Amino acid sequence: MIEIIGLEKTFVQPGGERVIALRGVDLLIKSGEFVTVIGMNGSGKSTLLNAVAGTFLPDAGTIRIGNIDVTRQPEFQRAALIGRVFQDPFKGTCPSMSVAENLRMAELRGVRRGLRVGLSHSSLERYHALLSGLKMRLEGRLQASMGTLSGGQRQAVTLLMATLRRPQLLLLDEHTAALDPRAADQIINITNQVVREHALTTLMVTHSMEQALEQGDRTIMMHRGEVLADLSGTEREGLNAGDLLQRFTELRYTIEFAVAKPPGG
Amino acid sequence: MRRLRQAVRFVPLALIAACGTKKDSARSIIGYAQVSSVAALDEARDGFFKALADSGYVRDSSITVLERNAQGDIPTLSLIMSDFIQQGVTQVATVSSVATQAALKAITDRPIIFGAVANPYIIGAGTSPTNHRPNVTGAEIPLPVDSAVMLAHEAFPEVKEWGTLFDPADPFAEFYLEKAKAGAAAAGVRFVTVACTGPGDIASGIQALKAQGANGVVQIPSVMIGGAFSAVVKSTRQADMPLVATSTSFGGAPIALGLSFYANGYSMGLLMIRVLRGENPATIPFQAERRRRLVIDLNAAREYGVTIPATIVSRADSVIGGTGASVTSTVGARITNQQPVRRGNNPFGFWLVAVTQGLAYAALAWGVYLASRTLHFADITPDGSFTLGAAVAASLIVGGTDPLLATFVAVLAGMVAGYVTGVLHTRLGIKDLLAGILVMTALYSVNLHVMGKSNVSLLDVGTLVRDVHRIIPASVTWSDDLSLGVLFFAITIVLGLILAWYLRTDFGMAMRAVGDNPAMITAQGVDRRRMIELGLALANGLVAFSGALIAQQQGFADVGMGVGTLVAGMAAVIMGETLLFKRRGLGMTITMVAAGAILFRGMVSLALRLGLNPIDLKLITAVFVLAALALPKLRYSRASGSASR
Repeated sequence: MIEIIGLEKTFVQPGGERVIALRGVDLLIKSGEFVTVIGMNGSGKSTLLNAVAGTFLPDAGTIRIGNIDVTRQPEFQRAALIGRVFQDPFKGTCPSMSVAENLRMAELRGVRRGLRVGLSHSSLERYHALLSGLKMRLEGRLQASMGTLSGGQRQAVTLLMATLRRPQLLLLDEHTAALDPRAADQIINITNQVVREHALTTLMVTHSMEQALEQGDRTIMMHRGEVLADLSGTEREGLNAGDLLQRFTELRYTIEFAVAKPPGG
Repeated sequence: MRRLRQAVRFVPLALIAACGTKKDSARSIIGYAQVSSVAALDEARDGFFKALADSGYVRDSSITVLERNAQGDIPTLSLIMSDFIQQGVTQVATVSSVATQAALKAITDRPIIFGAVANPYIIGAGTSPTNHRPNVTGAEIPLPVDSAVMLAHEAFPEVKEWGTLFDPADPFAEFYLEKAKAGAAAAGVRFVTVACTGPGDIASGIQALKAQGANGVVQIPSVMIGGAFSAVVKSTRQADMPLVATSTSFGGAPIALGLSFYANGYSMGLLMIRVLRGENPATIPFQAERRRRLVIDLNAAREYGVTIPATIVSRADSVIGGTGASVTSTVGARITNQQPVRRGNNPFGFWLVAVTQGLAYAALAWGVYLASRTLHFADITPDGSFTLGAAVAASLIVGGTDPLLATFVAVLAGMVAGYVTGVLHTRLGIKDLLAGILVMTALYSVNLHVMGKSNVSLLDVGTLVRDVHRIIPASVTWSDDLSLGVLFFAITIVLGLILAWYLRTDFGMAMRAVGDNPAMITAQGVDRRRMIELGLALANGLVAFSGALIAQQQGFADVGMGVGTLVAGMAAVIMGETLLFKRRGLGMTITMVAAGAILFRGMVSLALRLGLNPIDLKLITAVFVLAALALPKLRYSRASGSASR
């Protein structure tokens, strides 16, 4: 269970301009739930994800993962509970190190690292099997340096790394946005495969309406740092991208009208 | 500590002086300045204060003395002079030429009395003993370099060619070189010279002299070379070249012909008394020290394996050591701890030294590699931590600590320095370059405190070399240089294996990832800041280790030896990477970085061997590093699109 209560964040730009990124976001995610987040650029969807990951500390509010209050925990500390895949395929792996070394580092996420050469024969066999399961012809490239892999291959490995040690929460930040359509499809398939296999609690940010509705069991729509709509169950079933867009336009109009109304607000 | 107490004692006096009450102005305040604590200058100082005391001028009761020592940092001297003016000193006493120069520049309205100046005319104090600046007088000490060369020829007639090192930055170098050549011409021998810009170049400088055909050394006076005279002794001993010193304050040469700095200081003190009693310095002629002192060191002669003719020994003012059993017993304690230096007449001696130094630099290169390539941290701390390692090891060894333990402590000291740089960066948000500069600057003072002076000699004390001789069977007759080379080779191999293992451990892998992709390693639950702190500690521990080895190899630690360390380390890393051609495994990279260190020392040695002007050495180094940096760029420029990341 993930609890996000009253989360607020304001960024101050170098010029002194204040940008409100999150204005009191409340969100409860049940264990094993796969939530997709949609919204326009600047709606706060990625900010929400980064706040949960701990990239910055929020101005107000509480974040609980399981029963642990992580609101004030530094990023590296709460990483023990969180698996992450970034939008940028370069961001999730170390380019100069081998695929096997990257996997070994991820296997120790949140665990005390000792002075032991951890890459054993048995772990290499295990990684080989896991890579074979991805069906991206990665199994033969365990010793290749990560930098020689394609973007799709990197995201596949990053996804594997994020779930190698089962996380309490999986954060996916538009992780297919930088890939070509074929690779994006492959990564989405792998995502579904690993999430279902381990029944992972997942928060996935996407800018594709189709993806938001097709994947997962619940969709959050964000706008101007607030949750605009929260669709799940029967309400979400049967909706297509067009319906969603129309719904979004209506809601946005209502809100903006309401915000604009109070004088001096 | 002693200096601190002195400083505290001066505070009330300074306050009195600052208040400037009329009653106190009648009392004399002497501002005494000395450039550094080399033996000769300390002797002059003792003579000076003895003369004052003998005439009833007691420090802190009948006169006030503000004693200052620049500890080898020449720019500090002008600060000292402006401090003297501010404190209202009535007379200025300067020991050494640079201190006198600083006084001449800053002080024109009160008397300056100098001592330990080889030639006051070169530094602009006057044109003749009687025609000089009105506020200046003093005691000059023109060392008898010409006589020393003639004496050298008399003592060792089989030596047909003599030589000397000189410091091109020394204002008296030319003056003394001319004197030396005049002496050589009178004796009918050839005389060659090699320029030497820093204490670290002394060993290779002596080798270069030998390469030019010299088989004996008459070392002319020089503040820099004198400060590291033990290195001259060590190198000439190993090169089988008898050494004649031109100052009796330089220990370790079989023959030293000089003038007494103590007597010179005493004369200076007498001049000061005349001024204190109201005489005008303008009417006091400069006085030149004429009393020669010949010191024969029979212990040193034995170390060199030479015999000094009895006719010369009989003329000596002082003979150290002797032939009788009674004399030997007094130095017995030292000798049991000490085996004679093993010398070998190896034609590859020069290159052996170069490779040995290169091996010692391998740890430095690895340290720089760790910081710059693994952590992606532009760390300048090595310029300070290299000297720190040398200073800690040398001071402990001189104090009687086991060399192995001393080296270990030196590594720990280096680790602390690196850790501090890391903390400045990670916790206080100071940029990597600036954090390193701050620590490096602070380390200069720390290093001086550790050594207590600017140079610590390791001559005749048990370094790691002696430990090697203890281990290897007596039947193996390796020279000191060869033993050291073998030892450093073994150390480098072991250290390289440890490093390769460490970087493959789970902890080491995380450290590598910190520089490669900070976002990724944070997402894997690693505290990036902690890793940078520990990584820098490790890197500077390696650098300090390198410094400790170099100190034991060259026979001394000097506060200035760290200058250019980082460039040397960077050069080694870049050369190692150039040797690799393309990205290879970790083990190969570690090996090639070490090879880069050896190659770099080799290039420096080659430049020396080819007789390139040592003044250009740093320029050549910079050009070489530039070439190594630019070549791969040029080679890959066509494929830069994919390789640029």
